[in-house]
Amino acid sequence: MNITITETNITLQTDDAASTYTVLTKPDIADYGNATIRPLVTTYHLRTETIWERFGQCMQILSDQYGDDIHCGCYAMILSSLYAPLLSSSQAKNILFYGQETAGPFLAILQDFMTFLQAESSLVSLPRNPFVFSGLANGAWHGMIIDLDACSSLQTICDAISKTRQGGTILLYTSSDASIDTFTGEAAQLLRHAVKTVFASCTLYLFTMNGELDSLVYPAAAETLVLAQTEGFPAQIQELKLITQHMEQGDNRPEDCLYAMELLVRAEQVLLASYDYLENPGLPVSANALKEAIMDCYIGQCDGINTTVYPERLHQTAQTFYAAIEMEFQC
Amino acid sequence: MKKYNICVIPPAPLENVQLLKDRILVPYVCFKHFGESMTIITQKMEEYPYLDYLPGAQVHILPCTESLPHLAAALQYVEAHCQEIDFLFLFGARLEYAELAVQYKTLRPDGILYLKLDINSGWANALPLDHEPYVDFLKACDIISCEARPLQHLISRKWRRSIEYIPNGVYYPLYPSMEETRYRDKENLILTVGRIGSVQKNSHVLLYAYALAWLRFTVPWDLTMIGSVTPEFQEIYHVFCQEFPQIAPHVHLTGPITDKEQLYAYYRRAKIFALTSQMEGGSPNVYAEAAGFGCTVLTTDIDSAQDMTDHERLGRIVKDPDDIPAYSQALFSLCEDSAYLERNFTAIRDYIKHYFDYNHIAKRLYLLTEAAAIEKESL
Repeated sequence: MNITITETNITLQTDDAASTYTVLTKPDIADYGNATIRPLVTTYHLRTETIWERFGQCMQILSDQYGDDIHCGCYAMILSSLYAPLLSSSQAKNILFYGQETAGPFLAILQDFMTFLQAESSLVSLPRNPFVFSGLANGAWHGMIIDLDACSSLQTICDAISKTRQGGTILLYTSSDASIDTFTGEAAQLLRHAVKTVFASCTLYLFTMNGELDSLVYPAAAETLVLAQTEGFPAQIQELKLITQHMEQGDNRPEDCLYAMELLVRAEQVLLASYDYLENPGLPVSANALKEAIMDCYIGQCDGINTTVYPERLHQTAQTFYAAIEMEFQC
Repeated sequence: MKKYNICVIPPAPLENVQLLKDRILVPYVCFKHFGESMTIITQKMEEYPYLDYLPGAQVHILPCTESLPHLAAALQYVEAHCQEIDFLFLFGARLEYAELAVQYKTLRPDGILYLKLDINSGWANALPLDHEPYVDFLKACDIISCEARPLQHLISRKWRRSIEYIPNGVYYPLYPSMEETRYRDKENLILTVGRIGSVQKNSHVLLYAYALAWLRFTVPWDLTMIGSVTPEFQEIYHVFCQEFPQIAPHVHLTGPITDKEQLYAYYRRAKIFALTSQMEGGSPNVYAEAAGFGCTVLTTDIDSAQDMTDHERLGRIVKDPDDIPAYSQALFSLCEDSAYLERNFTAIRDYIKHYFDYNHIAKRLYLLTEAAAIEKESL
């Protein structure tokens, strides 16, 4: 891939010259070369370098670092898409990145350009964990960059989008056609709302956060799913309470044991899914411990072991679990 | 009850001694309880005389070569025999299993894949959870278990998935003399079993803690250390004998004991079982053996220490594995409290019977397997 930088244009071209992409055309405004002396941005006063020059320099580094890399087109398109939002005001910008470790040098380039424009701007690269977004405040970030090759979960994408502030920029990219092929149903529907740009094997989806997008991603975001899942939770717990009471009294039917296990497997899944929102992070393991006590009690009775050890432990574990659930969900 | 064809693939070529450890005993008791067959798949390292203890278990020797190592050959076996494997047992959270696990689930989506982690907290913290093949490996597992409660909390939080607690236990048919052990047969003997002198076992702490306690004993106690001895520890022991010629005759290094009856005779005689490990892969296999013979356990604060002592009801925990005076004080206190040791003889055996009996654990695993199968059917 070749990047060509002239006085007025920055373009990207495939090696075989089959595809060309204009990264940036120098804005046709008076005295653009002096854009660095915007009055609110005092840190630039000592610099003689203009924004255009700096951007060109960043693109040159990108070309040197990623010229032969399949991600080159994606990174160039991201820089191109962020150029205007980053310059939109002198407010410091915060951007989140969720992607592969190989993007390190690209992130350094983007961070350099962001801090050149505004020293307080920050770029945060998140660890690759699909739950990482749930700990962040909603609507707080100016921009979001997500590598679809590293994140194909609709829930994670929606979680990420919901963290972006109104008017913020969301960029989803992929350097592989295969990633897009894996998107079906709701994910594909979501992508249809984006502005799509394709260059060679690279595809970029650009969203601007607004009320419509917010309502589109809300149903699939973790917070909503957790609320929906926990809706029937109190009823399940009441059902479970009845079964454990019977078991403590020595009424151990196999179908009850298996049903109680099933309820607790579901409870544990719900609790793990809502883990980031729990006041008591020990709850999922408490559910597992109750499942274990139920199994022990059931096995003990089937084996005809005349012991109070298992029923007593079941009682104790059940009381601990129900008290913790009551405190957590007020049910 | 549904019967499963169980296949066991150890992470590395199997050694004979491992046949009687958790990596084989857990699937074996599952086989005894709900198995149609059990096949251990391995590259042959040596003869397997301990197989005589496991009637019904079969070993399939892999045709390994230099270019076809153990797990690569095991993968080929799984591909060729997947229809004969209803329940695949893997041991250890190892990346090397990734391809094999995913391939099995692709070929047998209805099959049950059980991963017994054999892990400690340090290892659990170092796992590459953002590495895609590793994530896929964990996703492929239907049941994952660890060997200590604190680990269950840690891993469940890190991996955001259900982790079962399946401790390393006792398979009673292997210990015919365990049942008939009486407290009156026991002697003032402190016992440890393991690779004496390995960094992990921290054996010098026990040696010197014992020496410090020996000086205060009101009745004599002996220390027996069973297991292969590293050259470094031989040197430490040699110096120890010169430093404490009065104490040295009370310390016995037996070397490794392969005759099980001879080993169990030591457990029957010992009142205290001492562990000084820096870390363990979950709960040590020797713990349940010793406790089954009614030995009170003194241990350092390894991941499973609270489970082993039922929060110090049935033994004592020394927080710092390198604190020789603290270990010595705990050892001395135990040795001097004969009433507690006698009471604990029954209490710890009951505890083992209720929660560490592999037969009981296999029944739990059957219920978990059935629950996993029901969940699959509902998808």
